[in-house]
Amino acid sequence: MPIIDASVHVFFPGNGDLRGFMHEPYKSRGFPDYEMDWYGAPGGEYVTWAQRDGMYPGSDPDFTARQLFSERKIDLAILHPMTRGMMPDRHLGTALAAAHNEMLARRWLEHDTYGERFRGTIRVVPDDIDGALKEIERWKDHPRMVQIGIPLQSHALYGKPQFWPLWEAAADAGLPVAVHTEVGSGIDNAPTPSGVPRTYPHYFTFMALNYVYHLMNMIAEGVFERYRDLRIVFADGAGDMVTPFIWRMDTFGRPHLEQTPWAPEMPGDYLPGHVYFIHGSMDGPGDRPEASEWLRMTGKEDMVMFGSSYPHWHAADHRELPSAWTGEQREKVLSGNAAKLYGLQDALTGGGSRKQVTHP
Amino acid sequence: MTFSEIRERAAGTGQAPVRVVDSDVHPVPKPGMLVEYLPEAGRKAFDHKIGDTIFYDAPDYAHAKAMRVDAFVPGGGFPGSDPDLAFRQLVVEAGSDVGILEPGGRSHFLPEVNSAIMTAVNHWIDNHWLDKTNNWHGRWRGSICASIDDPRGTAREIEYWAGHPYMSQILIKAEPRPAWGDPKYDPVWAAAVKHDLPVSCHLSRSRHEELPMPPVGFPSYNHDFMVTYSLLAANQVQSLIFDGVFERFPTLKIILVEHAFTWILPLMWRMDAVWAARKSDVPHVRRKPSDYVKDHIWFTTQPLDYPEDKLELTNALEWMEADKILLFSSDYPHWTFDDPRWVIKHIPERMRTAIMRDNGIAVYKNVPQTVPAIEGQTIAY
Repeated sequence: MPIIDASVHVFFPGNGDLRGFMHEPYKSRGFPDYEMDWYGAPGGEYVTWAQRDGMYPGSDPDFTARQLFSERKIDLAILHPMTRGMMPDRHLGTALAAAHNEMLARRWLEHDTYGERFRGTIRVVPDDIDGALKEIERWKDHPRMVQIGIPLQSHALYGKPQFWPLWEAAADAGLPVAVHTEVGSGIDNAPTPSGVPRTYPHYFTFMALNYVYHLMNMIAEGVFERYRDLRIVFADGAGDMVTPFIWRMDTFGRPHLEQTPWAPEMPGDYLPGHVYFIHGSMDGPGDRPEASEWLRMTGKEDMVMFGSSYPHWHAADHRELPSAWTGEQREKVLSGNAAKLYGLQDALTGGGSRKQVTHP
Repeated sequence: MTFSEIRERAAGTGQAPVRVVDSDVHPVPKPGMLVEYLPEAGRKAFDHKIGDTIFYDAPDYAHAKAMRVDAFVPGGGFPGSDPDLAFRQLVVEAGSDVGILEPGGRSHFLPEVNSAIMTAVNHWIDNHWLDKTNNWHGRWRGSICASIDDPRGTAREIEYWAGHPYMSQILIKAEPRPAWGDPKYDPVWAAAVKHDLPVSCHLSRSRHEELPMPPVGFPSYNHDFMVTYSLLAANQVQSLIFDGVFERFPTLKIILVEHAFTWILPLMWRMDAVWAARKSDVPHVRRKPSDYVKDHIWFTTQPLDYPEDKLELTNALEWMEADKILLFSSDYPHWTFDDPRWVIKHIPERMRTAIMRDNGIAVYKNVPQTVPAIEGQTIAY
């Protein structure tokens, strides 16, 4: 069974290298590193097996390719670079995103040996719509760029009209938009509605849930009604939450629909074909009999895609998915849903370049 | 039969078994009533006139004010302001045998002013709902209202009312920051367990400190606002567990009112998975998170959110062991009222008595097994 890892994170090895991809006046600016000071995982962000002396995890294409393609038998990997936090200066934020896009294309997607098995994410800054549209324009026709990436953190929900030009550009380019927690430091709000959590497990458990705010707002603001071709990927896991929250949105929201005539359908009807999730190591009921029925409910079996989050500490292993899933569910999560979403069917079925792949 | 006839006949009748304990009933003071009980420190909250404070409005607000439209008191009076009408609609007609009263009302940004308002609310409910005249039927139970943003004031208020025969719980607001795992709240939990009172938490949706601050921006409408409000409760659950509150207070009972509940199923899985992977970060958390939920936390049934395929809800209730964690609630007299006879239909048969009655009797203080029988009262099941 083919396997697509729909969430692999790549990085610059260091700031000197990053600055080499930047131009003045941004090249000389100060900006945070990838690590998160308040919310960092005790003991470090990355799995030990992805680390090697003198190398930043996820920064060496040859090393990462061996780990993913040889050791883990992944067929294709969707790369999603992490950048450097929410910058108060949106121009600097876009400059950092642009440097990551350039690095991603040159080092990974155009890699002589493994490039054909990598696909990329165009990082943009939603607070800088002009800059974001320019980055999309610059990269959307790159044959291996398959989605746009934005932070989960924001000051305004993604249903609000200031973000609509971004959704329009994504829909026009046929590129899904992945929403993922940004690393580094910056001007993000406290990670929970009650402020800053006291423990890391609390931070980690809650942080991913913030997508629910964005999703419910995007539905109520009619974003999926307005942009029929828009597809959103919530990439931090916790897709399980969509079941209780869409029950709630359908039940409670229904009598409110008169307030939002621009989103006339039942809220849950906007999920299919528009909303996707990365399935990570903390998701689902575990290896229990109800895992299959749970995945079926709310159509999650057509919405979730396996993603490892390599090289993060919670890296998921596709060999540890619930045994109760049906063969069809397994196929959808491991590759089917991602192949359809990103248009990778040909790349998977061995047409064209796939044959030339050499295992390292 | 008219209501006055029922009332006249009440004296001298026998006892009836309690079948439904209603965990969420909202009384409001008649205009001007609260101020009579207000300590000096609370005057600041009433030093200027205010009008309606609604934002995030329910459907047809101008007409219904987010209330059951048949609950406006004939001749004038806001829904929930007349104990007799509430008794007739909720107890006699709908079949909620015992109602746990949860007043909302005015709040202030200074914790000590909030505490003074709570003192007034408690005296008002004692004199106008729990008194012999208005509680002649023995169906109302009160909440010791307390200002969680003033933990020491809260502990004082609990001490004052704890011995009251009709006070069944402590009631706090869900929003003030930080989350409840912070040690600053320990005096509240200590007073609660000392008197074996559960601590109930209701949303208050006021301003800044009494609004959830969504980390990624404010919702636009009442529905995306209220739906995501549940994340506030989800976060309080995480804080209580990961900050070890139930290890510090092994007999503490927490009730999350009107925060919906089906989200607790995937949240229990997620917390258990994170805990299994990160135990060494929280050595004070000695059991798996879902164990704490099932032993220490209860959720009320209203709002009951359901899928088109009701079997999915049945499965979810079974998987979460709903008979251990749910308490029936109606939310009378709000527009989102759930009738007990309607809720029962959605609950697996083997869980019915636990959710409608037994859990309430076990969790609340001073809720009896039987109450004075009322002729003509609806028997919910």
